[in-house]
Amino acid sequence: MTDQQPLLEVKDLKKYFPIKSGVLQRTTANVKAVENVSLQVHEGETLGIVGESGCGKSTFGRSVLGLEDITDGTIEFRGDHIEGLSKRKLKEYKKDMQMIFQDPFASLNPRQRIGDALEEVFVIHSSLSKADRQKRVRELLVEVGLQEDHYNRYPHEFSGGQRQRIGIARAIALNPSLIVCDEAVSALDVSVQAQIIRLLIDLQKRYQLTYMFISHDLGVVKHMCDRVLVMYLGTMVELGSSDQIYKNPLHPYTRALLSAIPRPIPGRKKERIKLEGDLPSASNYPTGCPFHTRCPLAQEHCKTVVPEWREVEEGHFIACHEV
Amino acid sequence: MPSNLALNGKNATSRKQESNLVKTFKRLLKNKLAVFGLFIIAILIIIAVFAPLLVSQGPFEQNLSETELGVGEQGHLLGTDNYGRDMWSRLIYGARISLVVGLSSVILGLIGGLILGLLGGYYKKLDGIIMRIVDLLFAFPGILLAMLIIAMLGTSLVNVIIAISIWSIPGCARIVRGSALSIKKQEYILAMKSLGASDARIILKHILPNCTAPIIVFATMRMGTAILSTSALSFLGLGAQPPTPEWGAMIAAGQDFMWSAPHMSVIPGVAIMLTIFAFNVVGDGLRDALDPNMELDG
Repeated sequence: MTDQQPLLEVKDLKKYFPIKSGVLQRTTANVKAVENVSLQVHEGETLGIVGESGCGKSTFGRSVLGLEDITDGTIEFRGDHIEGLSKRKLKEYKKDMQMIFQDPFASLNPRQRIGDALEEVFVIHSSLSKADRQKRVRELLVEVGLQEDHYNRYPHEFSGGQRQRIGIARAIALNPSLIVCDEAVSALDVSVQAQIIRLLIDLQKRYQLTYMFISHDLGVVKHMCDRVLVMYLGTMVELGSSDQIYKNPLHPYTRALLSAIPRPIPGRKKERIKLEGDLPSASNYPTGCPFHTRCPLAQEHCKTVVPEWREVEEGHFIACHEV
Repeated sequence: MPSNLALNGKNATSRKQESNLVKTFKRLLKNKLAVFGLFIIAILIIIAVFAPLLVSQGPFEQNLSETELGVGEQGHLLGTDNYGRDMWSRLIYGARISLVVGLSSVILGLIGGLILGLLGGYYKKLDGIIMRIVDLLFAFPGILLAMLIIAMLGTSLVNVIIAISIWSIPGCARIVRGSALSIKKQEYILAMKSLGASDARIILKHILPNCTAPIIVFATMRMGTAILSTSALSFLGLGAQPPTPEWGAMIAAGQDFMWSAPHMSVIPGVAIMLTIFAFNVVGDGLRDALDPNMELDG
């Protein structure tokens, strides 16, 4: 771990979605989408965030970019607090933080030519002339592996992988430092996935990009990421370097998750850890350790005491009483 | 679809010109009824524009020696009315009035409906208030609302336009709001927000262009209704006043001569019917042609 200032520092981030009911629409309960997440992202690294559906990883990514109003906590970008800023002030930071979306079919306006869609980024954030903007867009198209004459086409004329390239072009257009990839390759075929991942890694090397790579695909995360955060029900479960998490998983949830990776080599069956029960509803949040309802190691005190976030080895953090 | 295959075969420059509009129009042309409707509308527009060239006698010109002539008698294509005015001439000048009143009230209604619908659909806080206003307008039966407005403003064709456009606002606002609500949740809107685009940019450049399909259908259908309502109001004496050659007013004038000269009411009645039929079948055809499921554009 370097001592320099982190690019992004999140402290105790909470995001609750209120459940309103009754005639007066009073808040009767909260869905705790993100609960007390704190982490640092350093310049140039790729941080993977994994967890099953509904564990709050996407909400976390959106909150960091200011797309969700956070309930509590602080977000610092290069040392500046950006939480709760007005839209106008946040716009300055948005140049530096971009997002790549999951669904390449839904993330482009179907009635806008892709050249115009990319040009719009410069219209919003720069004062380039029209000719300069178009020149930049053509460069961008080539940069992400498309052709200049794709400029005048509509999104429906492209394949999923090509659309995702357009999404990437849009995200890197302003030379941002941080890119949140929200399930950026999950909707693609495996062969296309590999191409897109290669493109992302190339771009990272060329522009010293920092990625926050949100995914449920553990294999992709292992390949891409320097550090990995495992989330469960909106909380942090385990954080460590890729090696630490994949070779020496400590938290029972991480172990169960990793044991679920399908193995392509026949005959080398590994013991599969099967979790009992279902994911508890985030609106009916368990007391104590959120994982105690399904944990094979759960003890009496797990039901009442929230486990501490502790460092078990250099850079390897875990939230569990028992390990 | 074979035409789509042919499209994909062309090179990139001609692809550029084959916009969605052209594709929609091609699909529309496959619908025979809609083509018939388009044909009627085209004729209406032509005769309305070139009305002075198509008549031998002005619509107000009376000839008391040739009253109540039947169809085709003494060189009058559609006969004459009780003042000896040429029915053909009055009919095609009436087409002018109907089209102008219909178009302007639909445009005014659309402007109002778009503003309310987009604001209501995009801003959750305004939605409640705007939709209650719309409900209020909806609660009145349309023709009563129009009559109420005319009673306040006085009888004239301009006031008919105002009344009918106000009556068009709630329907349009609901349709636009519905589309805006669903488009707002699309990922590309989120993408624009994450790029830091302003609300005005998102609404005008991303939401509005994506709800054009239902708006076009609504506007076409509404043209027919607006023309019918204009005639209804004029028939009741609330719109165009005699001697204006408005179709509804012409039917009303012909009422007293139902037995001696039935063509005085029947001819404008048929004109109204054909016009509304045309706008409705074109609207229906457009609804099918613009159906997003027929095209892969996400």
